[in-house]
Amino acid sequence: MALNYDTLRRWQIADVERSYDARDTILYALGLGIGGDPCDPAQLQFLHEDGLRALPSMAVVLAYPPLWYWRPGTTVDPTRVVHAEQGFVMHRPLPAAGRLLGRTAVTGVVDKGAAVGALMRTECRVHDQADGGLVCTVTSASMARADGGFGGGDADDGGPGRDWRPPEGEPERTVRIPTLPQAALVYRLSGDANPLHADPRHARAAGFDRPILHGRCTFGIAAWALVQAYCPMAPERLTAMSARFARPVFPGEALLTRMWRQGGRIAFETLVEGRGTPALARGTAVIAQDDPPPADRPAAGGQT
Amino acid sequence: MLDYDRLIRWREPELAQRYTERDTMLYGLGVGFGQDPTDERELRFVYERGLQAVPSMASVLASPWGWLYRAGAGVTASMAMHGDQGLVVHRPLPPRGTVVSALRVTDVQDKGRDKGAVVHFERQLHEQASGDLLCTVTATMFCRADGGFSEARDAAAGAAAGGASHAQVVPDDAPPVRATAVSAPADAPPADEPDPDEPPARETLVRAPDAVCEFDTLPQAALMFRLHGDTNPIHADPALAARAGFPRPVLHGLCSYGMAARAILASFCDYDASRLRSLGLRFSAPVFPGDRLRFSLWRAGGEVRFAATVPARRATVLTRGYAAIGPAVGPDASAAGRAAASAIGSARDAAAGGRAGETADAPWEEFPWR
Repeated sequence: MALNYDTLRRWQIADVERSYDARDTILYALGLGIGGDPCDPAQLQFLHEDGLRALPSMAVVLAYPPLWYWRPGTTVDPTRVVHAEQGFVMHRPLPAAGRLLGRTAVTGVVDKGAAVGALMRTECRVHDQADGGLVCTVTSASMARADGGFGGGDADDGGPGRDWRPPEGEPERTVRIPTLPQAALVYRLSGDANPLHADPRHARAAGFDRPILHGRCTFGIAAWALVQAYCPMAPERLTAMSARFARPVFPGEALLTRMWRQGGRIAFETLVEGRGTPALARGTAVIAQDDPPPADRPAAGGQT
Repeated sequence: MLDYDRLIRWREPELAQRYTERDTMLYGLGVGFGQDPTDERELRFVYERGLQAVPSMASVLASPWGWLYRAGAGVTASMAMHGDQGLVVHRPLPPRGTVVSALRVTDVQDKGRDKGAVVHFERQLHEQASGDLLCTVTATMFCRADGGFSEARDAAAGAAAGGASHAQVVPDDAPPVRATAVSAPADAPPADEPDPDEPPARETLVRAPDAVCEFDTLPQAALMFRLHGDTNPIHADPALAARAGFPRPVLHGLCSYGMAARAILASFCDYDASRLRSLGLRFSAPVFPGDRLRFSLWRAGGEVRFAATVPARRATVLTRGYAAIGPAVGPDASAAGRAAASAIGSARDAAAGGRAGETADAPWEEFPWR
């Protein structure tokens, strides 16, 4: 069955209610590898119930509709869908525990041609059920590789990375984060049980030597790199982030996140150390109340 | 002063705990399974397909953490240490279920005023649905500041009626003090009688171990392990650990205990959890997250003796290790649990080969373990 644009564009995605507690928040952080220095207060804030903080990127795994395109009738071939882009904008800090409601809509279906596929954009507005307030907006794009060339469709607005421009010069900051060999096995306990990330047989059937790390795990690691670089004890200042998934990461590899300041935003990319291939490309982030560090400012005149 | 009469009669109310595959996999990961994520034998403890519970997980299920300090029996909490841990398996622990247990104190020994007191306790773990006894968990706490309580009791009893106390000073049999240097019994060989309270004869120390395995602990191991319920800050809070005299937070003894289960399953059971029938050891020195543990194991028939060191710190951390292993127990023993676990896997396997439109279900569920 060929993709039916009207059906897919108007697809009603069921709301998702999600309760989570401190244990879930801690397990998410452990899944990213946070805690590798168990005495670092900047890591313990994500791991200890007292004063527990949620890393903002956890928003992308909470209240997001799992695998909605697998529902019968969407007209896409779900077996050929890959995750292409991920982003979030925080409207207020994500609580370390709570009850959320996610309401997701298809915001665009772009025909990238028969050779590439159909790009499906969704937006999930996440509300706190305690007071109904909007916590964040999570954007995601998936490529239905078997469904390109349907004709028509939406113009590509570029998604949250539309304003991205290539950074110039050497990065202002680079943060290296190693991953554990068992990183995917820990991360999947946060909810994404896709066997591609755990089962060597599934991985081989999909054409990989061994299970690959979850894209959203890499995205979370990049969020942690941004927080380390710009707001280590105030993670809620990371208020927006987006990136494109470029190449898979294997658990055990180290990730280098390179960051450039561009006006009021940060541009970033995340590379796999040793392979030099990008895992995340066209990354953008916003750090609220970010002032350039003193070293970056022109030297004050009259200093003796 | 330790209140013997209160403590020896102490019974905790029955606790129930529901656990899912997610908890079982988290436990497996916490004690080190999955460090090679492509080793399918290890995956059986950290992935749904054919998931097995590590038998030592019984030690963290339905446990009344901190009960000894809440019992109001005068135990000096800051000087109390986990001494021994034991397990006898009656039926393999299913990978998910609800278990109930009630802790009871079985003995309180006075090692003398300058040595301390040893509190023995046990929990029988039952499966709630079937009522079956799954295992018996035993442990001791070594209360270093609370020895000598029987002197006062005897004096009081003598003054009142001239009778003798039930609590006697028990001769010291090498209490579990924190080791400060390398001690010889690290390589304790198997004895003929697997009595954990009987130190091995010196003359049998010459035999080389039948198996040696080394496992790294993760730097974040304690932060992961505390998600099972023991949130004692000594395992997470650097400042508190420093005040207690440790350079950094200490790994849970029960995590090292789980690593011992891994060593035995890997060395002698071909990773079949149902073959482990009992497991006991003594904690002789703290383990720190990030330490590399070396297990030395001796086997004689179905009996295993073992000990563990941290070679980099020249510390002997686990002593008097013993285990019993037997033939595999058939899958019918935990049929419900295994069926539930394999249902997820087979649904996936079926769907993975399906094409669009032929299957209504996604190949896996989000949060399938809830």
